[in-house]
Amino acid sequence: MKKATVLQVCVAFVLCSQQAVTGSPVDCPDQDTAGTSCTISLEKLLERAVQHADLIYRISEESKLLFDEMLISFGMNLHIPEGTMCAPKTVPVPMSRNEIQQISDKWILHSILILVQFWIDPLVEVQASLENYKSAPSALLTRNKWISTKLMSLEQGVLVLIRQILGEGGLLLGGPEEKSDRFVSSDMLETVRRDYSVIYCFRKDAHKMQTFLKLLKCRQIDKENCSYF
Amino acid sequence: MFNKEEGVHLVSPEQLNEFLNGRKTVFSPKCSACVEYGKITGEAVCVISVTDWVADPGKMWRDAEQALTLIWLLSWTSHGMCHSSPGRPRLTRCRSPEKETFTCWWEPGSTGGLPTSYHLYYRKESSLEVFECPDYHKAGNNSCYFDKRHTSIWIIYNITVVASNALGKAYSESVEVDVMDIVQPHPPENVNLTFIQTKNSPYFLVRWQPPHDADTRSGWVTIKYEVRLKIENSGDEEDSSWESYSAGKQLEFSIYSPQPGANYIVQVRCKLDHGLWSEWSPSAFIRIPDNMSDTQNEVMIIAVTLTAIIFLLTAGVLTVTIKPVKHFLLPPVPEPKISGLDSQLLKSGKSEEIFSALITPGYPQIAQSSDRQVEYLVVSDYDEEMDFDDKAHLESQKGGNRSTDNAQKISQNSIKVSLNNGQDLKTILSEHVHARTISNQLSATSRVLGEPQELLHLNCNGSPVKAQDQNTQMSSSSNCEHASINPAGFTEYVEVDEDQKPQVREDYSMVSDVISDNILVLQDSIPVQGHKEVKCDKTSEAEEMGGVFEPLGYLETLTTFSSES
Repeated sequence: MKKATVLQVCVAFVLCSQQAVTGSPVDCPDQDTAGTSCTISLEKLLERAVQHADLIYRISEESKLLFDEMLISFGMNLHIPEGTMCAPKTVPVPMSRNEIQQISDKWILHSILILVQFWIDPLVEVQASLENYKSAPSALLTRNKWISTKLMSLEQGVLVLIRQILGEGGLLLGGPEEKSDRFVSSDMLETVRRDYSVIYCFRKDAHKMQTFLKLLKCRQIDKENCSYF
Repeated sequence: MFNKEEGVHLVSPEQLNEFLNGRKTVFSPKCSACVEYGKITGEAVCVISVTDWVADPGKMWRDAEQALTLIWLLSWTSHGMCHSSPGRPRLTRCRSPEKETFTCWWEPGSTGGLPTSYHLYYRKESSLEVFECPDYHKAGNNSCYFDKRHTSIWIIYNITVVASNALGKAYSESVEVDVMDIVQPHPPENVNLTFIQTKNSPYFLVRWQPPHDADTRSGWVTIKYEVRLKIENSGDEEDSSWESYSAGKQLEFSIYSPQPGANYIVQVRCKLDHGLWSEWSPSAFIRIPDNMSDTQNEVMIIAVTLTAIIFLLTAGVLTVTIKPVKHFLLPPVPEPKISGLDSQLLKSGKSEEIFSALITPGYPQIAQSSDRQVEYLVVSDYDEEMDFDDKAHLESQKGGNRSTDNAQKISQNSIKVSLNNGQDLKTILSEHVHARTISNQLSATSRVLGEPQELLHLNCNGSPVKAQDQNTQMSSSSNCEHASINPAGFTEYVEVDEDQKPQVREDYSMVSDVISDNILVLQDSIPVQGHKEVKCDKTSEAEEMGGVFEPLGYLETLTTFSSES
């Protein structure tokens, strides 16, 4: 009996200590005091961030399709002029590959961070709102919730990347984020329209995040091939 | 009323007026006035100078001839002869091959018979400024090519095509386009096939190049390929269907074990990010040679088989003939020997001598008298208390040769001994070993009672449990999910120790009855001491007091004893 417990404790100890050795990007203390405990390479961090962003984009695409189907089943013809749906961000985002390739790593990272932080709250609101719908498909709800959680871990990851690549302590560029006013409307159509625009515009921004991260990764890992031109 | 044949007809003004009534007039190149009857019949009439016709009869005839040559009753369905403002063009599709430029194509509507020019205008998202297409020619007719400078991603373009001719304009429906949604690359290039003949696994290799305009290196787009192939069947057979394989990001792909002698057709296509698949590349062909390495294989197989046969034959012959080899290959099986049994004696046929060695003194015992008290060991699986049937059963079987104060009734919660089959108790005991031990407690009470007591040990740890009765020398095992033991006057001593040899002989004649699959009725003079419920709690196995019993059950029994004694 005692032997078994002792063995279990030993195994647990070994496992925990291993975990302590490898560490996790979120738990990594400051670079100065880190020493040997935080040894995830930049390449791996970037790889994980890219995977996160890729998955988030794919799931957001599925969310949008599910929402479209739901609208059709509701019989609603939203006819939203797509061109006017997404509010322009305070920070201008580059619009073409050439433009993006000319901006610095610092700018890319900060843009990503701004985008990520912008969408955390609206998605939570949409999740709450979706739960009030009469017959929202559960797949849509689970996906939306998944996106919210993954977005927060992406935010953590981007902060770590900023620390590692730029050496900053998570300095935020620009002023305080604009908090969009809590949208409360008793009109069902307005609520649906708002939710749809969140999902639609988020999908677009998720694509941006993914593209920026991929470019950043290429630049950091393989400097020769990914040069500006 | 009208002569509906095509050609020149003479009509009176009244008829003409009637015909012209409510008709739309348009001009055609061949006459100065043309009436288009319109959509239903499509006929058109070319009229000149109706007034001339009427005013001067003499001239009328001259004019009439002229006019007549010019009056047409056109075919019923011809529209084209007549001119109109253009029909609406329609934007058919927009595509971006590499997410940096894009092209839109449209389909013209009717031209209305006049030379029509097309212009494409666009607006960017949430801005009102209108721009015109930067390049109408690069992508062919009826197209508009947006180069890198004019392409922005992640914003919506609102595009309209306008067709205009001398008579008017027509606007197409507006289309909203975001470059990220319309990505469809060009097909991969330079697909070539090579057949590689390796020893045992021939294969052919498909290689290709990415489309030249896609920037796959900088991470701007992530490209994925798909290969498909099929065997080309010459002759009348139907073509086999395509087999598709996903090839990830690599630029080559191997097809193993192709059919010898077959003609393969291979195509590759690609996709950027989550966009649309490109068209399939032009087919590449390869012919697999026959008889790849079959002959080689066959020879090998034959050689190996022959060798094996020869080897087996040799071994067999040797085995049969040479004794040492035989012993080596087929060692003799030891014959069973029963100690005390001599096969020679068997042959001689004297039975007493044969079996003399087998008989141990005192075995088998004659069945005991039936007035012995029945010992009823019950270890129940459930908490409920035993019914009084058992109690009554026991009491009725009490023999006279027992002192009544010693004879304890088996009250509730008596121990039920579970056995899987009543036949061979000893083996069963060693197999089924779950019980809890409460030995010390029992010994204490037994000391109190002053009788040679027997303790019931139920050990949950896995050692065989022997419920042994001093007198009966029975062994029985117990199952204990919830072994309930009631305090009674006398206890049943159950030896727990796995290592110890059985100190008492088995007495199978004590089994007086087998009630069911797992209940044995043993005859004994000493009743069982029941104990309160003992929980077989495996998690509390950590503590062991005296190495014999479990704390939880022990505590419970302690309390029960203290309450009852």
